[in-house]
Amino acid sequence: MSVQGKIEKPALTEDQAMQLIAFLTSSAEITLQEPVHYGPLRLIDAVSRVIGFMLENGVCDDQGFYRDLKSEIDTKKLWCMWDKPAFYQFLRETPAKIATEVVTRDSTRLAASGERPS
Amino acid sequence: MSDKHAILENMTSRRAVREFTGEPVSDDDLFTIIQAGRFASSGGNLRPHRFFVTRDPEKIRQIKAFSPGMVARPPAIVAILIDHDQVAEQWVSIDPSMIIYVDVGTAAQNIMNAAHALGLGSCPVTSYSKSGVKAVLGLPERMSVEMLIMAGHYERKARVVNPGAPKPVRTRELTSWETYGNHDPA
Repeated sequence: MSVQGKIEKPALTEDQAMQLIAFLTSSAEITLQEPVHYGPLRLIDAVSRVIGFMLENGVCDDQGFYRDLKSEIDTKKLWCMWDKPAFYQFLRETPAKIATEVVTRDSTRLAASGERPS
Repeated sequence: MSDKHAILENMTSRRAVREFTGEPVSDDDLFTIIQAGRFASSGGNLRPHRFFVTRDPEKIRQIKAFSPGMVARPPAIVAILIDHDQVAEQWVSIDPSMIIYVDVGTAAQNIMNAAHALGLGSCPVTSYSKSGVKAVLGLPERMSVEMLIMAGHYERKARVVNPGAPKPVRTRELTSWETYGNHDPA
């Protein structure tokens, strides 16, 4: 998120972006023949990788949120191997958790800028 | 323990290892486990597989980038390749693919059992981009990458059984004697 007056650092270096490109294009290829639940696994794993790069680059305003999310993903993505219902439930719940964070951050930012009360 | 029991114990105690120490794997150990792969049974004794070994951290990093299923960065990778020119020249069957993959499987299992016998951990990886890894390895057109095996030293840990894990399958339940569904030899 941009904050007025703050100098933005890129979330990813070119090398990191290339690693993600390699991961995502490879995932797109192999999901043609892999079990159906591996598709969501690759996507959520990609999220973990993006967060990992962001933490590595020190671009997160709230490291705790990202660190916790990455840790949760890295634990629960493995559930697809032995507890698919729990894995699917985790996938269904995760966007809501992120949406809550986005709404909170937007409210805080708007309140700080005087555009809208929090 | 007799040799016979030692072999059986080795086969049944091997597990997939996905965490490795940084200790390098020796040339001798790698040669030994590949030799075990080379001695695996092969349909028609045609042996269309080849082995590609790398311990180069940069190459391993590149392979891992195209292998979403590779969850560790191992100190060594053995890639099992198929030479499709050899298959085309020698094969007598209309569809050789099944035998090719059986050959890859027998070689992989021998490699992993041999690694285990040497105290090394290993894990097969099939979730990778065939075209991506082939390009990283700089293989000629006729070769394909059919399986990657991570190998390396590891720390032995107590086995953790995950709470939601399915019940272990028993040999008896997998086996029928004389009549399908009859699980006992009597």
